[in-house]
Amino acid sequence: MKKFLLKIKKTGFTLIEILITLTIFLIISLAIYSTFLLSQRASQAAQSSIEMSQNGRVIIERIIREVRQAREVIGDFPGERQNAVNEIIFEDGHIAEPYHYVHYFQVDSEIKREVIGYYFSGDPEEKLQPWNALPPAGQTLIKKIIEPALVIGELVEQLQFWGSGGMVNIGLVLKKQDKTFELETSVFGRNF
Amino acid sequence: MVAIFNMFQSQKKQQGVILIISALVLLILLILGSYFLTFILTESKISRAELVAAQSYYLAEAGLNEAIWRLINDPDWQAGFITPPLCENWSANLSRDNLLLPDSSYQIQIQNQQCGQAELIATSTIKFGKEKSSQRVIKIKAYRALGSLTENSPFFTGGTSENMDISASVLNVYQGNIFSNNNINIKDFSSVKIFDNPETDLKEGKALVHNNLNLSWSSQLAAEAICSKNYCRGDCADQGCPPTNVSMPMIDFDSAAASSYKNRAIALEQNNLCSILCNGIVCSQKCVLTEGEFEDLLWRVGLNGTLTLNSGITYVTGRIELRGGRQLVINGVLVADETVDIGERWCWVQRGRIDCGFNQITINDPGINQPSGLLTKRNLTFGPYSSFQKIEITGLVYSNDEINMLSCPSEFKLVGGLLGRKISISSLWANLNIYLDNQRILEGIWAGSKPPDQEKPPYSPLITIEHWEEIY
Repeated sequence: MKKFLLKIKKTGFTLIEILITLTIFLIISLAIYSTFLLSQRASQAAQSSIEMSQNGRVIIERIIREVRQAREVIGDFPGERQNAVNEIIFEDGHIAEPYHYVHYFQVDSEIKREVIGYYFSGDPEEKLQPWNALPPAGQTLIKKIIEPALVIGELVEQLQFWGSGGMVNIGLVLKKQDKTFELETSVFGRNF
Repeated sequence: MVAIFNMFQSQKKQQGVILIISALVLLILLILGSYFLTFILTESKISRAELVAAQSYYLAEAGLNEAIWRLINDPDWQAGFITPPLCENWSANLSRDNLLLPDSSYQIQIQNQQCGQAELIATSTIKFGKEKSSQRVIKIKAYRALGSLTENSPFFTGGTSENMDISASVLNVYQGNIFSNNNINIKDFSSVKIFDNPETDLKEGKALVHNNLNLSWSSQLAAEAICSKNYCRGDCADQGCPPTNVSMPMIDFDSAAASSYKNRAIALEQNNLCSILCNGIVCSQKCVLTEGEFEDLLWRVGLNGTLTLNSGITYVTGRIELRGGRQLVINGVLVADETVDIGERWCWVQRGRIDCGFNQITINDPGINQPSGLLTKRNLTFGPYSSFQKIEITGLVYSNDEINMLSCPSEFKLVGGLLGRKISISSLWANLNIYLDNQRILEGIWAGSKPPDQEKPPYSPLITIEHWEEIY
C-alpha cells in the first residue's frame, strides 16, 4: 500500500512543467486575445466606413437632386475652391410656387436643411418676395422659416461649395473616430 | 484494488497522449486564428473598396455634369451636337486629372447617335494602395429637348369652345398624350388607347381635358391617367385636374415676314429649288401655286396617277381637293390658304372625262430641321373616298379650323402630330395610329428648326439616365 501511494506522488507535475504550461497558455491566450481585438477593431472600422459612406451619400445625393433643379443660387457664391463656403442657398425648383429658398448648412458635425422665404415687413399676408427684392419705403425684408432646419446627415468634418457658370462643386469630408472620408462631385444646375 | 492499480498502470503507459492533444488544440487554434485574420483582412478590404467606390461614382458623375455643361455652354460641343451634317456622327473626348481628388482622373466620351442625340460615357479612376485602383463607368443618353407647345400631345384640339369627337373609331396614341382645350367625347363603341413612352422620364399616356371627358357606355378609354374636370385618375400632379388651357399654336402662313410659309416658298422658287413631278416627270417648277394651277397638275396625272411635291414647301393660295383616284406624295410640307379635302368625292368630271377612284396621301420628312406635313388655314377633311388606302404621314397635320375624318383607311400611321381647333373622327373602327414627335410638330409650326423670331432654337438637353455600371 505504501509503495502504491509513493507511486501516485511521483505522477504529479514538476515546477518546470507547470511554468512551461503556463507560458504556453499565456502565449496562446495573448494570440487569441490580440486576434479577437484586431477583429473587433476591423469590424468597428468597417462599421465606421459604412456609416460615413451612408451619411456622405445621403447628404450629397440630396443636395445634388435639389441643386440640379434649382432656379437660382443666391448670395455670394465663390468661383474658386480656396474661397469655398460651407453653406448654399438656392431657389427650390421642384415646386411651382416661387421664392422658396432651400438652405443647406453645417452645424458642428451635422448638415441641416431648411426652407426660408422673405416678405415685406408691412405685408400682413407675408407674401413671399425674391431674396433681393427692394422693400417699399419704411419697410424691410424679413426672413421667415417655411420649413424648420432638419438634420439630413452627420459625421461631417467639412462641407464646401464653390463653382461658376451653373456648375456647383461640392466637397464633403466625413470623420468618425480617427477615420476620414472625402467625397467630391460637381452638379450642373440646368435652370440657372 | 488490483483493478485500480491496473488502471493507473495503463495511464502510465498513455502519458504521451497529452502532447498529441495539445498539438491538436494548438492546430485548431491556429486554423481559427488564421481564419479570423483572413476574415479581418477581407472585411477591411471591403470597407476600403466601399469608400473608394463611392468616391469614384461621384467623380464620374462630376465628369458627366461637366460634359452636360459643355453641351450647353461650349460652342464647339453645341455645334457638334446639333448642327448638321457634323452632328450626324460627331464625337468628342475629354480628360481630367486630379481635378477634385488627388490620384484621380475622369474621361468622358461623347458619341452622337444622330443629330441631337448622344451617348455619354464617363469613366473615373482613383488610385489607392500601391497598385490598386477603383474605376466606375457611367453611361447616359443626352437628348436635345425642344420643349412642347402641345403638352406632348400628338392629338390636340386647341379651340376653347370646340370639342374632340371620336365616334366609331379605334385610336391608338403612342409616346404622348391627347389634349382638348374643351371637351372630349368618345362614343359609338370607340376604343381609345394612349401609351407612355418608357424611354423618357416624363409620364405620358394621359388624356388631358380642360373641361369634361364624356365617355359613352359603349366606348373605352385606356390611359395612364385621365385628367379633366370630371375625372382625376392616375398621376395628374403635373397637369392638374383639370389641366390649364393650352391655346392653339399659331402658324405664320402668309405674313410679310421672311419666315412666313408663303415667303419661304417664294424664296425657294426664286432660287429654282422647286420641283413637282407628275407620274415621275417634272411638270412644274413652282412653289407657290394658285388653286387652278394645282388642280391642273392633279388632273394631268390622271386616274391612279401620282403627283409628287419635291419642293420642301409648296404653297397653294386657295383650296385643294384630291378626288377621282389621285395619289399625292408630299416630300416636305403642303400649305393651303383654304380648305383641303382628301377623298370627299368619288369622281372628277372635267373636259368631258370622268375619273373615279379612291385617293391616297403620303407625307415624308425631307430631313432634319425641315418642316413636313399638311397645313391649312381652314378645314381639313379625310373623306370616305380615302378609305381602303394606306395613309402614312411623317410630320404635322394642322388645321386652324376643323379636322374631319370620315374615312376607313387600310392603314393610318402618323408620326408627328395632328392639331386642330376641332377634331371629329369616325374611322369605322379602322386603326388610327399616332406617334408623338415633338420635333416634327415644332418644325411644322415654326417652318424650320427655330421659332421665326429667334436666331437659335430654345435649347437645353434633357438628360435621361439609361444605364450605369461599375467595374473594379
